[in-house]
Amino acid sequence: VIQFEILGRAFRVTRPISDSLEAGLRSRWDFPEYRCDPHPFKLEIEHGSTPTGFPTTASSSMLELFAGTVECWNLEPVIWIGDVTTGIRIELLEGQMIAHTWGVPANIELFHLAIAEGLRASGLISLHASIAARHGQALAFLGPSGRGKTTTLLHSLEAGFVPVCEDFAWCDPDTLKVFGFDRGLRLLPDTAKFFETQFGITPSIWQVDKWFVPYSSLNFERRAVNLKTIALLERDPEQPTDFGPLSKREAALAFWEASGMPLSRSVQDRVSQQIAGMVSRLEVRRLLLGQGTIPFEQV
Amino acid sequence: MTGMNYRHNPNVVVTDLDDELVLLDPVSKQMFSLNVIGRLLWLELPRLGLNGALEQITKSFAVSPEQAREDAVSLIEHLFNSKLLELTDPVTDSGTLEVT
Repeated sequence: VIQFEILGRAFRVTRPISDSLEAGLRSRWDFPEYRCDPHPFKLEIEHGSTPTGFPTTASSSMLELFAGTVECWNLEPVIWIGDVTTGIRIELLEGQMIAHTWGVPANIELFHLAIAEGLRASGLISLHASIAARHGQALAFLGPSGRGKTTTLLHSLEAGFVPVCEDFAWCDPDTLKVFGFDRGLRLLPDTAKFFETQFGITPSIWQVDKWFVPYSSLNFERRAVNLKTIALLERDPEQPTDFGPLSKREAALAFWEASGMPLSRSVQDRVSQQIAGMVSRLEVRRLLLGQGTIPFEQV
Repeated sequence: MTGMNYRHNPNVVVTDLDDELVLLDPVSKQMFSLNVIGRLLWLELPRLGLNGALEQITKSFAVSPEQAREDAVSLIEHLFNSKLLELTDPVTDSGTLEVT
């Protein structure tokens, strides 16, 4: 049995799973440094055999995972994903998410999917973004892959910010607290060279296609910070680098791109309301990346 | 088009920003944003139909009835073709929206 808290929410896996699966779950979800108050929402996953009731006739949709496309049946409050050999049944109930997975070997991506859906149902919103903080106030850089989020994060570190996350965070829309949920900077070779020049630290861990610099090597205390500003990154090499205005709908679109689409309709509607609320409470800016340095003193 | 009854595609996720609106189609993952007039059309069309929605728009904004109708027809066609908007009545055999 694995048991730990995810941002105050009790999480447990009630059947024995492999050491590698446990390590994968802890690496992705176990961040005890945030020391959150207990939250009543519970997340529970049981790994075993295929449960009865696997849908065969209901209409399904296709879901893109890293490992490929899987079939998904949304029969709310129950969602089935996969097939009879490997899959997951996710049930969202009042105050809890109960999931049942099956398959040998277990597909950890399905565990991640269920946990993320449960966390969203509990009131959190996920953000694929680079986020930096100064004086406890966070600035999130949003934009599609390749737009320059990581490089902009490194420039913010030069300007005296500390990293909150390079890739992924959870945010509490009520308090606007943001929690980095990755373990370090992942840098493409040219960005790693820039990092080495600027900070005098030579990345030494190579992971798949990027250099990895663990936050633990950067000598700062990791903690929750208040999200104050989001900046949607755009590129135009002809223009001077500068912050500019961003409309609320552009900000909402950027938020949706960053948060991803929840599986269940009820959670989609919840996230929609959360995004509308956050857009009205946050400073929303456009950061045009062009010529010259980023004027971080403006935010 | 004026006599047709419209409804929102029930799968579309709507983020209402009070003066603007963002629409998401969870199936196609496409996102659309509507300005303040488009938002009013989206909100009123199912309840009031095209003529009623146009009346609301011309009452609320400095836009001529002709321009409002032209823009609304164009937007409705776009929303319909993007499957964000549906007709409650049967459409033509070809499944397309007939603009009259």
